Amino acid sequence: MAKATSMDTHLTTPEALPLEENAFGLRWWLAVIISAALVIALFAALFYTALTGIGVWGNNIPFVWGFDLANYGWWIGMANGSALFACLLILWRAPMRLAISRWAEALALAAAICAALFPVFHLGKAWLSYWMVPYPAHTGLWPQPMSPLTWDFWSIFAYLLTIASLWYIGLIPDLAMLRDRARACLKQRIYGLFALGWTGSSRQWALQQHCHRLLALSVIPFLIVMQSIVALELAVTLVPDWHDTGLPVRFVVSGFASGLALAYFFAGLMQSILPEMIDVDDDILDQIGVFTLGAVYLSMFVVGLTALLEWLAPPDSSNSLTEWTSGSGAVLTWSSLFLSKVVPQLLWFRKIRRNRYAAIGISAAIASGIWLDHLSTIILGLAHGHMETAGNLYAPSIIELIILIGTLALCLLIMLIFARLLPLIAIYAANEKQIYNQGERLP
Amino acid sequence: MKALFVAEYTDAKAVSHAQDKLHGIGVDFEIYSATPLHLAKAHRRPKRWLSWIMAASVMIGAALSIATQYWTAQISYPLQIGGRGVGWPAYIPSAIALAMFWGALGAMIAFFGFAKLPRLHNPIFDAEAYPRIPGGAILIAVECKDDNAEQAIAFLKSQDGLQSTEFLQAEQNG
Repeated sequence: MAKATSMDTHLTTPEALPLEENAFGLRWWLAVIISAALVIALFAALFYTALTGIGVWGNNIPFVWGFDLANYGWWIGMANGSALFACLLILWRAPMRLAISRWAEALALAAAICAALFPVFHLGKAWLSYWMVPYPAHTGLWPQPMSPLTWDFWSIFAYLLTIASLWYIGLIPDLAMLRDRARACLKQRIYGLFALGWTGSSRQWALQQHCHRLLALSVIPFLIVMQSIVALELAVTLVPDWHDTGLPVRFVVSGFASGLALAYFFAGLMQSILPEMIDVDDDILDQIGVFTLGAVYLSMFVVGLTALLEWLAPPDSSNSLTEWTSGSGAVLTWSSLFLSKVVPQLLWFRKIRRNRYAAIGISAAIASGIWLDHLSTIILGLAHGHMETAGNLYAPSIIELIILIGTLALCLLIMLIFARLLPLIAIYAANEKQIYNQGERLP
Repeated sequence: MKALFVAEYTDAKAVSHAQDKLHGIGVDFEIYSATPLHLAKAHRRPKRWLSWIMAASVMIGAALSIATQYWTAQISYPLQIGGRGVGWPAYIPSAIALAMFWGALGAMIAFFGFAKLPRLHNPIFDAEAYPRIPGGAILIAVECKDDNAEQAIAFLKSQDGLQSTEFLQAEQNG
């Protein structure tokens, strides 16, 4: 039996997986403790809402929707945008997918989980949310298929499972690597269970790569449709400012911009607090910044076009543009425009794009601006409806603020736990790059 | 009990050359690596089947969703909404969502089926060279029950870049 003399490997030893114990020091624990505390507050607020009723929120006639729908639309927009970014990188086989696509998919999943809370709790009787499932009830009643609530249920259900599938298929080879490297028996068994016995055979690799790309391809139209559905929930109503054919397009582009902003934020944040976890250098940050700026310009074009068409409309058909820009709620509109359209202009400067703290600040501004856009759409649309109102604007309650901040913490907590248990980058793809760097591509 | 002959290499080009030769010999073999090697002409048929299964699942999911919505709203408990007819466009959002879900589910199930997963134990795990795969080793495993196995083994032993070889005994269904 021939034996190896000295290992002439064409690969460097796989860089230390980001799960080594010494990588999770004070900064990680501090981040987890703070976010866990806020998540506990979130669940306390949700429990209080379910126990007491929607009256503890700021909702009241005419503001039948407020923070709930704004938060839902915002989170699902970020989830869709992040997933779209990851899928496009996978399909283009872009080199930066190695550093980004795994955690961008996880961000999409985390954001979708945050979004999924709202259709359940905004029902009021959250414990009856299972009525949205079409099961044969003793009453003979079924969910109304023409209701946006039913669309929400199926969209969130399908979205969570589809994105989870995409993420898991990409993760299987790395789970196998973790199984093989684990020293503790329990870790080996847990990783082994989820790795499903992956061996790394050429058949498995060919199928895994093909399946991953197929799922990425199928997710893209789904994301565009899903984001349009979020807008259709408003557009199918009789509220004049919502009954707008341009609303789905606006939501799709703003969702993409907010998703990229979320990815940019996460890249900057992780580079600041846990740089050893993530393979994002200044060049990658630069590229994400460029994409984010591009998405912002797309959003600016659509918003500008919408405003222009509104301005060209006969004055007696709708004066929403005047109301939104100079009425009592104008501060929401102008704040949204400033944060999501003006502040990102700083991304024209390369030095700023490559700075992690600037990435955090600018992406937070973009996301906040788009959140304000969602909020102003809902509030100003309802204030400007068919009913005469007292002219007061929506006033959120402290419970709603806790819920909003709590969902931010929930997203961060999910990502921190993910970073602890699983690799944030596709290790196998990073190693693959090294193979091809050694010589020509195989025939 | 079946036996496997396992040869260890570190050069992907040598493995590609070996793959062509082993296909020519007509022996049953498999290649194990830490990263996808993108070997030409490998596994086109199962990949094509996976695509078609996913496409079929999408169609089935859409059809099931529309049928369910129609049956619940028009047959089982008809909803009379101002005498209006069936709201077919309203069925689109749920249909697309479920079509995508069924497509993903079909692709996953097809992937697991063709990749023969889950299979928590595989004889290759017992190979002495298997732990060296993450470090760059590439293993070629040939089933010894084949008539042409001896020819394949002789070829692999003579191949440049060979690091080590071993024989593994495996369970019949393992």
